[in-house]
Amino acid sequence: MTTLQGRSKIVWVIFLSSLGVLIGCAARLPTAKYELLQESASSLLNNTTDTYFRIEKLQHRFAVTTAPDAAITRQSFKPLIGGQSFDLTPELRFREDALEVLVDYLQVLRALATKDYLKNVDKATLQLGGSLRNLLESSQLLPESQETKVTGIFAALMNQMAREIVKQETRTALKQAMDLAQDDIDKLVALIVQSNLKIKLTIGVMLTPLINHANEVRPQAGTLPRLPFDLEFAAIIAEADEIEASLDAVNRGLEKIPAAHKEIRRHLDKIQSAFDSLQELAREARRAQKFYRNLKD
Amino acid sequence: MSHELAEKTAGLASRINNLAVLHSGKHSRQLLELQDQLARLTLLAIVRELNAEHEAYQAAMAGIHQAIDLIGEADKKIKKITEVINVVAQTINAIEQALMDAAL
Repeated sequence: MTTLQGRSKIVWVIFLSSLGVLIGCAARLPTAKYELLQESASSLLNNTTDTYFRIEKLQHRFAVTTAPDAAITRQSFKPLIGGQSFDLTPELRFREDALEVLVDYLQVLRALATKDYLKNVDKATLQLGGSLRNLLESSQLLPESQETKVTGIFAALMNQMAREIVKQETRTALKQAMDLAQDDIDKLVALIVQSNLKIKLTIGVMLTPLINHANEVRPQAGTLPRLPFDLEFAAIIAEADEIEASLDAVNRGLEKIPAAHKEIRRHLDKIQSAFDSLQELAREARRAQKFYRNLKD
Repeated sequence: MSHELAEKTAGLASRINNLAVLHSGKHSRQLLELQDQLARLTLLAIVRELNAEHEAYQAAMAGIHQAIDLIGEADKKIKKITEVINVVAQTINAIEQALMDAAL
């Protein structure tokens, strides 16, 4: 009898623990996946910031090297032609701000998926609000057509975040936030990817005249200044190559974000997924961290 | 909206670059200066949203085609290099005008 009671106790303990695990699983949010999604996007943003900075440096070099052969004035080395500016910096800032909005939105999701979500969501939402304002400001420095592309981005989400979402059960809140954001994510990613393709074209356009000018002033073979000159110019070419490759890598990663977002959203509905896009995104984001490390700064 | 102007301007710049390598002295120098200007205009055309229907845009495209026809493949020295330089200089003015007038 005692043995039987003991056995039945054990069975109950096993049953209750299994039930606990099952309930836990059912209620458990894919926190790690939200973390991976946000961290990967954040890595792409870091790489983008670095890449854009290098493009600005290349543009400066190009503007100085191709300055018209005339007396120096304050305007001489500015990126101008016929009084019109071809400065890429406002374009780059706008794209960087768009990516920052995306990263901050993913941080909101990450915060929503945490235990201490009320406090974390508040902070993340404020940050997202700030980055949305930055994006709108940087779009206003560009032609109106650009401003239109980002007007209203995440407006529905922000509206809901301020009112309803956080009052709900976390899983429902996440579902609602992700559903409201999916179209805007598609839009933001398309905007940045298209821009990076456009920006990539500028690298070759700037590099060819730099090479021509270098050939004009290259020290003669066998002279002492030849090697340092060539080494310096080799670094410029290598950096331009890395910039182009890096823009491609960032684009490959970015293109996975909408699908990875959808995969996690489907997971909330308990639909099985292999998370292929999320894995691809993480792989590209890791790869993007490795650019420029062999270059001399 | 179109980026064809940017592509064609870049194409013209590339031909001028090839010509500059084939020529020497004053002509080479002048061609390189034209190439610098074309490169700057290409960048401007890349960052601008342009209306391809605008007459200034179409005039610039016609100018580029004319210059490219005159230069050909830019794979050998050109006898009428002074004429080429003048036509390209006029084309540059037309592109500048298009980038100003056809901007959206």
